[in-house]
Amino acid sequence: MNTTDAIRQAPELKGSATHERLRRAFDVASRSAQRYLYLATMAEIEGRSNAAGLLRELAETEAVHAQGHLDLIRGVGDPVTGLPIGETDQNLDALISSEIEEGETVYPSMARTARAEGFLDIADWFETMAKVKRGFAARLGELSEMGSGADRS
Amino acid sequence: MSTAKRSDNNKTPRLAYDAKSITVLPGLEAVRRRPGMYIGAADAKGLHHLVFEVVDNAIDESLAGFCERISVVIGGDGSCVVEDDGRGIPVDLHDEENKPACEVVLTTLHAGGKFDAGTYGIAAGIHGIGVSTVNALSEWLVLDVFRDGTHHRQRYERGSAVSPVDTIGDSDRRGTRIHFMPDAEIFEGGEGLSGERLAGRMRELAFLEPGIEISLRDERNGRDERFCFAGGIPSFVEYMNRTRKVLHEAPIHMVEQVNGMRIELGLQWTTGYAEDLSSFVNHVRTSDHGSHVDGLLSAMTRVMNEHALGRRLLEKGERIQTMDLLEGMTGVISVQLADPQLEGQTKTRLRSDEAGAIVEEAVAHHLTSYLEENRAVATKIVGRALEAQRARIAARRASEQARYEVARAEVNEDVYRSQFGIRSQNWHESCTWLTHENLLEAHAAASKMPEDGLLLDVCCGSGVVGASFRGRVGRIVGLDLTPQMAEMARTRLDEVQLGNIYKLPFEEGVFDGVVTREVLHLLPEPERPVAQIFRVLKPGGQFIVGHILPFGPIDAPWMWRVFKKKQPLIFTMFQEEDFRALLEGAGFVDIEMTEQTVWESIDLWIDTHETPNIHRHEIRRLFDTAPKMVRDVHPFEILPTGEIRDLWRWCVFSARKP
Repeated sequence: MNTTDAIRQAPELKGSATHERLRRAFDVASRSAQRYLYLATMAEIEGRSNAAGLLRELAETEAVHAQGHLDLIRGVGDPVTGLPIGETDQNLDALISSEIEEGETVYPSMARTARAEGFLDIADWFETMAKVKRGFAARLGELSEMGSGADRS
Repeated sequence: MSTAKRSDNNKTPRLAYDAKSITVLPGLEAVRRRPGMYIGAADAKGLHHLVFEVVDNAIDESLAGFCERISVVIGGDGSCVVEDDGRGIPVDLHDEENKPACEVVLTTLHAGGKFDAGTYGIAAGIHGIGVSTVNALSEWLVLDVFRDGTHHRQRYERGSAVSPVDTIGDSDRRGTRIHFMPDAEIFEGGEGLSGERLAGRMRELAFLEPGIEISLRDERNGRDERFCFAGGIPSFVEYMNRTRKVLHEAPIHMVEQVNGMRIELGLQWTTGYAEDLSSFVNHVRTSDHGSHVDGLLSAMTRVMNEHALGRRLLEKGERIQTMDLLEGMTGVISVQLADPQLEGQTKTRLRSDEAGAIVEEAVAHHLTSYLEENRAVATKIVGRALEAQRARIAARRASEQARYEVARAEVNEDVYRSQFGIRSQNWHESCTWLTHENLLEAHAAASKMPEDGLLLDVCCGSGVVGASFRGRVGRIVGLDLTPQMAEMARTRLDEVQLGNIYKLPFEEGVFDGVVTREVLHLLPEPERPVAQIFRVLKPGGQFIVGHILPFGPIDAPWMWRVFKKKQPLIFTMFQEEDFRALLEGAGFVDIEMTEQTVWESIDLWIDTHETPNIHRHEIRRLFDTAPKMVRDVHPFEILPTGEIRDLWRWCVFSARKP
């Protein structure tokens, strides 16, 4: 199949390899932005203002890239849960779903692994995360139940 | 440098300070409408900024060589008078504005001598808000000018002149007096001007400008102080170190004048851990430092390493890191330059590659020869930095080591002994809570033990908790792992044993009560020591345990990071439900909890060997950048001096063995 055929057939992004690459690009850029920010702080502490300045600017730029990836993914759903996103009420549902997943499954499982390997402090950190994530889900849930009325009152 | 160029181009003779030297830039009305844009915010900080701005003008006169005395008086009515013996603000007619020059200065934003490079080569008020902002934000302001043998006066209300410049009479003195009343419409509520806060700044200025005498009087309470320090920056450093033990006698002192920029530096190392570095640009504190400090640190690290290598004070491959050199260092760096570029939200960071490079070169040059000439001091400083480096590595090892031992279901006693043995030297000074009386009383008040009962204070430290039960029980036994701690506890308790909480050296069911405080988070698998406590209690015996807990799940991760950076041996950041579950899991019943909050000085708390210097900085950052959600639930405050006070939620649990 040549390129012209591909265009004529209007390829489906959802589930495609490109979709998967976009999700990965979103992960990579998001994590890169945080890495830059973290290391910028370290540079500031060391008194390396110029290095800190550049790292901070790169962090900002990386965040724009991450959101660029999200621009391209959002039409076919949330990159984390796959749930449809668009309007805020819908977005809240996607966020609640991922926070519950993290609070109930992801972090508790990480905690178990850490505990089994003897990293008790790290296990506690993951458990602390699980609790706060469940709290986030609850906060989002309250907002979601109030609907758009929450912003009109 | 721009100073030289600007001076050349300027036609105004430097010493002529009259109406011609007042430049006019646009309007003032906006100040009252949006004071935040000019003074940061209409809060306590903004209010004090008004005084600083007027004082800065007097300092400019001093920098230009015309002022020796400044007096600040806080009136009984909350007003403020700032008076200097400088040249006096010009009162002659300003050509362009067709008004007296002083009125132009007081009623026009960005008007004043300091906007004309010929009048003041270097001006203190780098914020450049000018005294007109102070006028705009004052209910009334009275200006008295003593100049050319005459006393002039003009009155203003909310930024506008309400009288002409009146001649009051002859006068043989010289200077400017500004008496203003901060406008209550703008600065609502609050406690007015703080003598303490003003004193801090006046003291600082008197150190930075050793020729000047600043007096401060507070008519509300009779406070009367005079700041005049001939010793300048070295005295400033000595003042900062007044309660610390210093590593070497005189501070290292440097004054350099390069390309129109003046750099003055004072450095002195202490035997403590706290790093205390103040930086100034044109006498204004740059709390976020910037290029001048970067230059200093870079030169200091490079020169120290070169010196240490040259004298073979380092092992092969060893290198002193900036963070380790900063531990225990007290320093003041003050630079003066024309047109400094300041950045950051509050304009408290200098950004100038050129200034940074000049500082770096000057410091490197000076420090190299200083170290050569003072080898004994150099050896001490290098030794101190290497010690800091080893402690940093040890802190990392401590938590790794403890993890390793857990895998073997053993607790490495040495790790705890070394961590707390060193700290025992200044145990009670190491934080507020240890000897906080209300907190100790909260533990003792929970007692339901018989008056002749036997109490065990486990991990007793210096024994203060156990001792607070004196009179409520018959006999108090302590137990601690660290010999130094046990020694201290013996002065307070009836008997103290050395031992490990994981295998308490007592028979089953012998104690009427067990008490412990802020220990379980340091112990891997806390259910094991809690089971031991349960075992040694008589049936019906009481366990009283105090612990700092987060206010909720939201501040828990933030506290986790703060506490782990402070003390690498932390294993658990308990939340209330965890603590209850821990007690219930061991078989305890009738669990009750009382709560109280205690303000803790974070600066004091992290001033210890167990916290590496880089972690101290990171902890400060965590407070500086705490997210709103955290700040909403967890109160803390960062004082104008940078000191951090954190509100800790102390929970005292009482539980009974059935």
